Amino acid sequence: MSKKIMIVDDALFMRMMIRNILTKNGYDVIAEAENGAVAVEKYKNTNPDLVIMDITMPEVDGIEAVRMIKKIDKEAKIIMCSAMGQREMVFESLQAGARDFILKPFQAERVLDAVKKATSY
Amino acid sequence: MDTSGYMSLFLEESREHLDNINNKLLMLEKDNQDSGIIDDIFRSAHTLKGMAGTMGFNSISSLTHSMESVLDEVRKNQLFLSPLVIDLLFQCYDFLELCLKDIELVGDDSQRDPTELEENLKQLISKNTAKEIRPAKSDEQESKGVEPKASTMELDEYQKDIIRQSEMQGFNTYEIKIVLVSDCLLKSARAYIVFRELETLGEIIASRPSAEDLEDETFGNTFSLILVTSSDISSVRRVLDQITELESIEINQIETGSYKQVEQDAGAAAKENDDDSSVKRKIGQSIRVDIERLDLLMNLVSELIIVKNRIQNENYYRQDKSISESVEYLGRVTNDLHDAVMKVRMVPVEIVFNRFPRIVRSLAKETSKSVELITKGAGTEVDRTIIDELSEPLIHLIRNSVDHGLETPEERVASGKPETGVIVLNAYHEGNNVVIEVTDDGRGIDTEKIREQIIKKGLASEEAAVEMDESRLISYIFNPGFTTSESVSNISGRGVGLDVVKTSIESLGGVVEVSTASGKGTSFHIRLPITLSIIKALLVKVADEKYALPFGNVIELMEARESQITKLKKQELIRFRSHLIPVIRLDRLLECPRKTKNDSDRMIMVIVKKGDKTYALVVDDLIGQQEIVIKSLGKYLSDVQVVSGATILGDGSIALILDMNHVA
Amino acid sequence: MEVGTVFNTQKQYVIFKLNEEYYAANVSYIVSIEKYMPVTRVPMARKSTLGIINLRGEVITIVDVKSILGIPDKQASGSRIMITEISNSKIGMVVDSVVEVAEITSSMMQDNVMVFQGKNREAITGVAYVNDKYVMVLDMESLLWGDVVECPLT
Repeated sequence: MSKKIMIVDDALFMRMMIRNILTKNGYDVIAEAENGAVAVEKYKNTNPDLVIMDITMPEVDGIEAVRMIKKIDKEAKIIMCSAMGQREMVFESLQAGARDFILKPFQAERVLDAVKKATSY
Repeated sequence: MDTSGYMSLFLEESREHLDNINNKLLMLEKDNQDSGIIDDIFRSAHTLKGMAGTMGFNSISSLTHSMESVLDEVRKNQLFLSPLVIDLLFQCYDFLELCLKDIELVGDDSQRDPTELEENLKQLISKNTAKEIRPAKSDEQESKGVEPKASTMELDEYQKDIIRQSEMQGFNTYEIKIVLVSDCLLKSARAYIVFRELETLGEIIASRPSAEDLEDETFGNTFSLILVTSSDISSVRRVLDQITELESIEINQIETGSYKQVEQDAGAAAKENDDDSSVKRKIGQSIRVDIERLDLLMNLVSELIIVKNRIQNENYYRQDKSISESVEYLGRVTNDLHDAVMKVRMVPVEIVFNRFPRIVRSLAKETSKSVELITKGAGTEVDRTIIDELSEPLIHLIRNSVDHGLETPEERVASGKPETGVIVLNAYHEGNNVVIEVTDDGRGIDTEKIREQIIKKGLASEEAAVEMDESRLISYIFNPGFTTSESVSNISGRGVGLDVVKTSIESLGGVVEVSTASGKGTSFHIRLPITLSIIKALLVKVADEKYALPFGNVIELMEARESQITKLKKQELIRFRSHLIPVIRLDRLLECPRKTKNDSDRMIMVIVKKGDKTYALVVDDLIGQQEIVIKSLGKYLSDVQVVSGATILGDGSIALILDMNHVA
Repeated sequence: MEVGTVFNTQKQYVIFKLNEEYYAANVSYIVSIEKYMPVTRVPMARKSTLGIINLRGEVITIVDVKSILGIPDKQASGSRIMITEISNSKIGMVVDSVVEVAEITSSMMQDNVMVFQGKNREAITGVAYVNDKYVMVLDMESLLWGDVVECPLT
């Protein structure tokens, strides 16, 4: 059974790009969200195996969303996407419970490597 | 069954068996291959078990049962009798001793809990079920195997000790080398993930580069760390495999061949006279802190204390009650904070002392001498940075004692001494210093030979050399390359000489002194500052100047009259607690200019103790007792010996800190 | 007064007075110039040591430069303390007044050193004619640290 992934990013373009990479490689994108609040709601409803989430978003940002999702499910696996120069935020999200991070602009292999490692153990 | 009638018989026989166990263990230390001895110990333990079981003494019977299992493995050659095992057996002996004492006093041994020892014994056996038979190591290899093997990282004594301790408790220690992918952009975050994941398995006790450098990303793409964990290597690999952006992962297990004694509340080792309370250190609860951060903390605490003093001073004039209370509380909290920070840096010298029995044993073998090492005050604490620096000089001094100081057994017997030479290693706090003494009962320093060498090497003219007194001659042993021995013995490692010992100690701000008596022995005396930059002091007024006396030296305050002073050959003395002690008038000693003359007959004296000497210091007035921050006087004044530093008082004025070593 | 940044500091000197004579110290050694403040005596120190002061929480040794140079001390008013720093060690010098900061080039150096009245010749590198007066240019390292055993200079 293929792994279920949720993509969270306020830019439609980014969500599309990541979705393409994932679906082409056998993963199932079961939900998308454009901000942290929606992400938390959809997490509760769809219970994905993995979340790929951008750090900077309106409403509820990535770091807050990590905290909230981890509260709902402490085993939740979340990979953060971050632009360059957001070192402090990356650290904060890791401390909040994110498992891994990928830097933008990303290469497909890096994304796939992270997703594979997050979903196969 | 009524066992009361058998009590004295039980005690008598048990004592015999215990003594036997002790003696045979001592013999085993020297020759751990003798299967006859092992059988002997097994039999004694077995008998003890039986007797104790009959009498209902469960702690003894339970422990001896575990001992039997271990001894059985040993005699079947399934467990190698390493020093670690022997030491554990010694600890069991200690425990059994205490049980017997309890039985004598209160009638049973139920107060003693052998669980921890039994756990340790169990671990020895369980470790074996997976391992193959270890080949017997030669004695020499064994006694030299003190350092953790195969670690490419430089570790300080504290860290090495944690590794030794953790292995003793059955943990694994791995050195892990990580190479990040070359295009990894946020290296510090990646390193953080590595640390975080590994910390779910155990504890990271060291890393290279340091945690700080990793955070600041001042490193290439590689870093190494040392992990202590109960997990096996495949679990560690599994955790690391899940992390992205890692180019390569290298995991190596670090082994040590040595041991660290796990101390129990109750027992003190039979051979070591440690009069301090034993130190219980828990592994898995220590963290690594960069020294610079501790220094920063200390500075902040110092500043806090200065400000607190200033507020107290201000309030003294205003007499505001609510401020008084708050400041007092502030004072208590600052004190506690200060102590806590100091404690973080302080580490017992035991860490360094622990290596020495092995070293002495191997040295004794090398030189065919019989040597006993006694350590005292192993719990004495010293700043962490000093610990590292201390071990080389101490090792050298001990080598020196064994090599040159102590005579061969034949020589000793010929001069009426016991065959076994004794070296005493003693550590204690004195005032603001920590003192470490290395004393042997050997032949002492031959000052005439020194005189000859001085002349021979042209270090001084013959006339000058003839004039030199004993202490002058002795000071020459600290000259580089100076030796009076006929043959230069094998000094391994860095080619250390006594001159290096002296400069090492001096670089720590300490001093080395020697005292010797021909035919009786030699004592090296190392004095180091505890690196306390804040101390409690007694502030006094001498003439119109203010001075601070370190509280650690102050015994008492006394009022006296001029008439109570007696004079003996120009030395003024006064009676104190049924002794006559020297009186030192500080205003004269320090050449203080006086605006006002002190006409009164009454004198205020501060009784101080330095080493084993007591003095009465005459001051004009007492200002108070205070915590002061020690400020260095700087290099320009480094030749002023009577004061060791200065402190800024609450009102901005300066008090000089008297150095008790140079007051008399 | 803090001696601030002046371009081409190598050739800038602080000109000050000891008694009636003028002396110059290179600006790179000077940290600050303070008003005179009470000095705490240090027992059994070198004769030229006046003692130590508390300068904003820092303990600094103060020396009597006239004593080091071997010139008599004719009490002058308005004394100042010049804080110097060499190899991370600070020392304060008592001077009678600070006159100015001026540039001294090699062309201003004079041939004759006879102007100097004191005993300690090694401390003087030469005499310069600066702004209509003769100024004794000091060798600061030799002056302050020349006879100290634990000299920090490497």
